Amino acid sequence: MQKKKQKKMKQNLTGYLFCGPFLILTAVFIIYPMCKGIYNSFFDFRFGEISFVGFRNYLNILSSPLYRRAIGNTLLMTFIVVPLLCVAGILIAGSVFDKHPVYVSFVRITLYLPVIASLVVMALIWRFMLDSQTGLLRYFYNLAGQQPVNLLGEAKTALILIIVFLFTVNIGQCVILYLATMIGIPRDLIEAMKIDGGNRWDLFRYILIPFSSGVTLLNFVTQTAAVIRVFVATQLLTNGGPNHKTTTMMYLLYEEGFKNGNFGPASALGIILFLFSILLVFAQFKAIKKQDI
Amino acid sequence: MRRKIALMMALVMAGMLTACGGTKGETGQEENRPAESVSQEGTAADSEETAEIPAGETVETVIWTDSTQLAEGLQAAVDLFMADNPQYQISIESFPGSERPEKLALAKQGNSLPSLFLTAYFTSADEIHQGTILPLTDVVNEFYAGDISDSLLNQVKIRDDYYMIPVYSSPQGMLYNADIFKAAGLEEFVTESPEEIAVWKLADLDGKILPALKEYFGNSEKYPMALYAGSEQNDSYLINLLWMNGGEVFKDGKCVAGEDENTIKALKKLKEWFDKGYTNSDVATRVFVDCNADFQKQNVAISAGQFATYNNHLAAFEKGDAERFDIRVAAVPREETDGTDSAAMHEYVYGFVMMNVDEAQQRAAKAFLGWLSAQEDEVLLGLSSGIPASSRVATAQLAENPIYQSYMDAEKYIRDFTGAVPGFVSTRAVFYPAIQSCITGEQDEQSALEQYETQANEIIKEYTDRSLVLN
Amino acid sequence: MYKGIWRWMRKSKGDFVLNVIIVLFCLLSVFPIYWLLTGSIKLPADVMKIPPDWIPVRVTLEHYRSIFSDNPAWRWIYNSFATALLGTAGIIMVSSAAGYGLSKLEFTGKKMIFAFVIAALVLPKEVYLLPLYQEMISFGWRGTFKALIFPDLAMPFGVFLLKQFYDGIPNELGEAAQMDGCGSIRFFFLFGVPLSKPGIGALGILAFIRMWNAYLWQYTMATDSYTYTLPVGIARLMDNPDIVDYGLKFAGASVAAIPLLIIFIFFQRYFTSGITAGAIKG
Repeated sequence: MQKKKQKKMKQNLTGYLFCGPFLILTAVFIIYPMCKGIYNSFFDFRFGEISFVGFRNYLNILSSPLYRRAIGNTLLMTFIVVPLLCVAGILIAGSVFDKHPVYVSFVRITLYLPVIASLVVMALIWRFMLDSQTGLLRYFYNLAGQQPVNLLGEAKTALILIIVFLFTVNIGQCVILYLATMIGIPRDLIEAMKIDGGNRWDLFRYILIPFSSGVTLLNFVTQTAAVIRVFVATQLLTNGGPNHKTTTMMYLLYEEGFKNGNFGPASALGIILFLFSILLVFAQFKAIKKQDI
Repeated sequence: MRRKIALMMALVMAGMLTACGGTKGETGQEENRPAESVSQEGTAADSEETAEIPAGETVETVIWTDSTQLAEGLQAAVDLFMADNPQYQISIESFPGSERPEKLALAKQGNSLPSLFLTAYFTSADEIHQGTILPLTDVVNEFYAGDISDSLLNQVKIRDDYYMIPVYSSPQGMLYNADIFKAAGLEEFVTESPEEIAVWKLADLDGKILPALKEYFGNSEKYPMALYAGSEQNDSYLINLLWMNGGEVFKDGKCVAGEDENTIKALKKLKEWFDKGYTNSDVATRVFVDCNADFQKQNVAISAGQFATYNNHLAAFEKGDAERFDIRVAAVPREETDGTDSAAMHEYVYGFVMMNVDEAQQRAAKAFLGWLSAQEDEVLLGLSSGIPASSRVATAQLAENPIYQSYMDAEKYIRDFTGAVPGFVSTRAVFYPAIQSCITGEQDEQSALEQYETQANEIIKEYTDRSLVLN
Repeated sequence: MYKGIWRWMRKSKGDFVLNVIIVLFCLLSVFPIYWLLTGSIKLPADVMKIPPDWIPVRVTLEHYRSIFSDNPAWRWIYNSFATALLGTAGIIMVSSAAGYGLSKLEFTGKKMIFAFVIAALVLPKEVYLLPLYQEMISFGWRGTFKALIFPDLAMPFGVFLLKQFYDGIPNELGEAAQMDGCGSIRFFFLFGVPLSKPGIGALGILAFIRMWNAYLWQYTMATDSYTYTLPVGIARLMDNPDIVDYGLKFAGASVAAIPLLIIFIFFQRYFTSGITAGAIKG
């Protein structure tokens, strides 16, 4: 009996030893500030004093049409972009992974370039190109013989453009991980399928998708986290406009917190954003777990 | 294998330890660097000091500026001051204006405010109401009252206190390309001398100038007049444009844009110009800096600009960054309600404000400001990108800068675009979206301005109720 | 080679069409970068010309020259390298240990910790940015390398990634070793780390890129232009409304992207060599 208890304790000790550095760092640099952030969300920081306002920040957010629109936009973008990314990721990686290595490198590098160039740079280039007065967009309109339309300035087209933008700058991340997994699949399995007369479609169904389920989960979770905090795209492409039609949660958080110094509502918004993310992510975990069985 | 890993880890550990060594890390101990910000050490040390600065003790403090062009002049002035007064250690931080809100917000919360900030008055006005900026009435009365005009001083006054030491003023109006005007057959609207500020009638702008320019540009990507509402950048020019038909945006401390029919008329006129192609096609997403770039490349004939903008273009011509053209200044036309033709411009007052820091740093700041008033013209000019506030310096410079005279003559056209309403800076965030909604056709002019008025007045009310200087 | 493509086209049309689309999409993905690089060497007047010069006609290196001469750009590059390298090394160490622990070891509270890792992964930094900033000030770390590196060492994504890789390594290996009397820690260093080298390679690259491009935090922590990292310094240039020259801004963006690009192309082979090959074989 004693020995078993000792063994259990030793196991726990080892386990925590390994996770220790991570846990300590998280506690100091994430948990503590986070708790302070939650605390902050119940206060108003302006006019020289820090005054307690209870849940008023949260109520203001949930009842304001502007914030509701931001929440709506954010969720819309997340629900469209993330599944699209994973599906396209598997499709692309699955069609490319077993071809000539130079081709594979070509695909890998070209799709990952936007990630390397960083969001800020990509957004700026896109803005220059989509400028309807002096950008490439005007050139193409001229070719078609039409008057340029400010696509980024109309709410509907702007939203579509932002979604396309988010897709192009994040697809590289998905493809790279899928490629890595698929390349690692034992050759014999794939040969066997080919001999059995399976086409690419069967390859996908029976080998590629099941094998990549771990990466799919990883991609789903990380892309959800990345897209739900969309900020750079909206700030640099449309500035949240026109008339706040393309604004997102993180954009408002930044505006309120860092431009207006209104840290109370900003923190509250951040907490709401976090809660949404957790909900989505755990839902995904549940879904994948069910599939595995 | 194990040894390799152990070695690698040891190296990394060593690397991290060296990074950790020394409170300031590697981020700057070289002698030939520009002064680094030591605000942290400064604040911590000073809070232990009493009001009196004992001989031999140093006070460390920071001065900010959000005008990167003035950083050099400011550093020179500070160096001179420190040479005379070695007990003060001052360092400079300069950054573009677009970063000001974030830096201020962070510094307020992190207790790392500078003691002085060389900036435009109107962008700081909200901070006065929030108690971040302290009055400088004593310094003004002791050192500057005789030299700076009352009209300038009144612009930085709330109730009975002055909150800024003005260093220069920068009027803003339209900038236009006289070469293009002449090529388009508009010689009659170009002034006799290059330094003269043109004053056109609204009817002429609407009926003759813009159509002629449009015809001249045809279907190319060049456009007659710049109009931008992509962000709050330089939105004071937009407010200036809304004065075109004799209306007001602010009145008696409140926003009246939605009820003043002349203001609505002005917005209708702007929309009309947009629809007719007299402006760029992407007003809702274009920002001022893009229009300014277009102006320098001669893609647009009429744009906005303050005195500093005008000078920047001239400097670019000198450097060869852009092809030189005949650049001139114009006032924005304004047709008064009784039909007379007038003009409207606005100006920014730049100077030093003092922030809410501890006693010792305040003393240092005031000492610097007092010292500054007695300096040579060159020092004060190094801090100026416009018309010097000191009348002594301005009159001395008249001969070399004839355009000063034009601007000073145009004083009669200057109106206050902030309406002196508390919370003006915060209302900027609701102004440009309203204009966007009108331009994109989402709302008509009246409801767009009504949206602006309602939201702006909410903000103004909160500021008036909670202001630390009004209550 | 052409015969091969012909055959491929005939054999599986669907696959061929799909790959054509993929190639087109790749080119589209790369085009903005091409536009950026060519724009950075064009004369200011040509950068936004219509019709545009698809291939630059007049070129100049003036923009690059002025970036390096007017700014402490070399210092910025050094700062970026230092923070990214040290940060990546730290992340790898911390994530390896934690990922291994969560995958191979059994201990109470393990599931909770994993759930916690996921929660931390989706937590955006902006939510606690201000309190973290205040914390850095109270530590006295503002303007130091420590402030740029330490907060990012706990990278939940890293832990998650390596856990997935370790999951792919069969347990039999560990169990056999244990029966031979090899302790967990020894096993980790002897087998765990070497086997997950490809995973560490992948994490290394991803972490490096993330640390290099982490703009918001670096900007908040910087005190003057000497403490900037490259992305922050360049972004300052782009933001500056007084600078009207787009060629300069393009060059700035290129300077920010090129070092990373070189590193990536150089190290990207770590993604090829059967990243999970060692793991799945068993």
